Amino acid sequence: MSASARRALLTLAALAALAAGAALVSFKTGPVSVSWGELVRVVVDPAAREALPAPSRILLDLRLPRVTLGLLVGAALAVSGTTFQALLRNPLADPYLLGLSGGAALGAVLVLVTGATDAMPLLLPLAAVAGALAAVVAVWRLAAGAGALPPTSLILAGVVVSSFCSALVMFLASVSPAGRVQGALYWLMGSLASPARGILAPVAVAVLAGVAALTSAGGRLNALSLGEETAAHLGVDVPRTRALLFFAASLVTGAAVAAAGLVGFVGLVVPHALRTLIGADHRLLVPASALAGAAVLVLADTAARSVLPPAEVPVGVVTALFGAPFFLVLLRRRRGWMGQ
Amino acid sequence: MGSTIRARFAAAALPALLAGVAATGAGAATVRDAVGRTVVVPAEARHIVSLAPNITEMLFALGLGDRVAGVTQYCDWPPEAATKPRIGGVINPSLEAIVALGADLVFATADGNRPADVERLAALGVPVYTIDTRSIADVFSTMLTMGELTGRAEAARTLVAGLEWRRAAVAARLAGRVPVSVFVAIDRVPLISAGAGTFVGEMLTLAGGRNIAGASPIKYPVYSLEQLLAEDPEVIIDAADPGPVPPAELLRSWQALPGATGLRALPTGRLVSVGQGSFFRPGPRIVDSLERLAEILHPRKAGR
Repeated sequence: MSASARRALLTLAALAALAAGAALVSFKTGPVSVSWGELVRVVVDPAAREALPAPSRILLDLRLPRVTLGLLVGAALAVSGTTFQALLRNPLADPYLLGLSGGAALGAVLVLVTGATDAMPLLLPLAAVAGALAAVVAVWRLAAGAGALPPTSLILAGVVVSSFCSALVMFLASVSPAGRVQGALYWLMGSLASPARGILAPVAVAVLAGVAALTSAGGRLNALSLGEETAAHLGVDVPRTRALLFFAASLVTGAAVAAAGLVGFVGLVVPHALRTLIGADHRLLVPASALAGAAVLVLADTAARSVLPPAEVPVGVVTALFGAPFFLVLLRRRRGWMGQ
Repeated sequence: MGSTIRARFAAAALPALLAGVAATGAGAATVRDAVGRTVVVPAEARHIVSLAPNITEMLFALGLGDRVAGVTQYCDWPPEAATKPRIGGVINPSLEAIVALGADLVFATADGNRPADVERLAALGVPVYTIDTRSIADVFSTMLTMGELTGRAEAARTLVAGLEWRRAAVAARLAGRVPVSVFVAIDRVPLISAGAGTFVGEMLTLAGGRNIAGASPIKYPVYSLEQLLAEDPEVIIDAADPGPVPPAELLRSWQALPGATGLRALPTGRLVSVGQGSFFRPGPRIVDSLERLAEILHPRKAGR
């Protein structure tokens, strides 16, 4: 085993420990305090669940799905952020840049304001994903119409599609009853509180498959981030690889959106922070992003649940509040971080 | 902004419009409204415009229906309000439409209308009186004031005296009862409740409830499901749907919330839908809602 491989494994092990620790802290923390003893008993002893109905319901029905979802969504956003930043060779790329968020918002607001979700709660995530993927396909088509699909035309097409979707969302909001609009806006802020029933399993499958696929593509991401010509010289089938990775990252983001709405900042900042800390080798960076993103979002959600009990703060607000200063400190320490 | 352009057009059209409805200055009263603005109210306003549903209800309750010239698109009560011209929404009323109706008095609410719209209407020469209804007492005093401003003081006193009497009857019936723990859901996903210092919170207290969200640092908090399960209130009032929904459907909606199946209010039938439409609307029907809430929290018939 080479020294660099050993260091990579150590890095991943440390991040995995961090994510596991974050999950444990999150499981233990909340407006209702549960002692370690109760926690262990509820988890390992079915009889204790009968004896302690309230703590066991809170732990197993509420916190466990919430922590699991936080790990999945955090991993999904960080990994797709890493992928988009490499594909587009743009440090400002994030999972929502390419029309995904605009499309998701449009899909969600459409079903929310028509009231169709009252009878069918699952409609909301489905509509959001459908909107997100439709927007991504539109962006891809628009940019491909321009010929060679350079990163710039993709970003431009993304901005245009996003603006168009936002305009439609604003229009729908302006002609809908206030209560419905509020629900839609809250959903757009992102929350891990109450995912639609039965969505956790499909989201888990999508995210884990996507993360595995993108991890295995680390070498090709390395080549692509050097530029198209260089990648082609290195034997990468550029158009095909780019399309595959682009849609894989979009699907992973779509799954995250379906379960938790639009949680901002994680997908933009976690990849950057890691690049400054562990370097830009995507074979390591992609799995490391998954673990770090999972840890960051779970910790942010823990804070969101405990700063103003019994009220909850949108988790996206917490990620930005804590993430922005942290990120600035990193930037100051690493001048020239954009010189790729 | 487009609204500025609209206002300019309206200003240009103003002299022509006002020529037809020039209110005589005689008998006009200069008053301060609930937000401290000075308003010159004509003695007998003939073309009153309402900028909120609760204002429309108050005007009709005071017998001013025939003098209401315009209402918002959300004014759904009383049924006669539907026959009135619409001037747009609460946060986006068309100032042009208001001027075009020849409004000689506009009622706005501090809780909903935008001060900028009020200012612009005033600049156009339309008197705007802003009300502020943060409590049931505010609702009563607002109706009395409205009566005085529109020459319906006697009707207002009769109406409010009746409502006061009914409110006192509720208080008398509940005297000595132990408050029932209650949670109100303004919305289910996200779970939004109402804390102390809100109109809804006051209603729950007056109806003999102990609002479990009363300690919230935020007025309308996104409430922690975990906390709700831990508190496990005796009664849950659901005001999330546009109108009251059948119990079976309501139960299904709640069972879809993670962990909520363990709430004792679900099997005991003490989860009640009141609809958000107008139940907590700070207007003349608020005592109807108070009586209904008191009945939900402290049923007259023992046993069910």
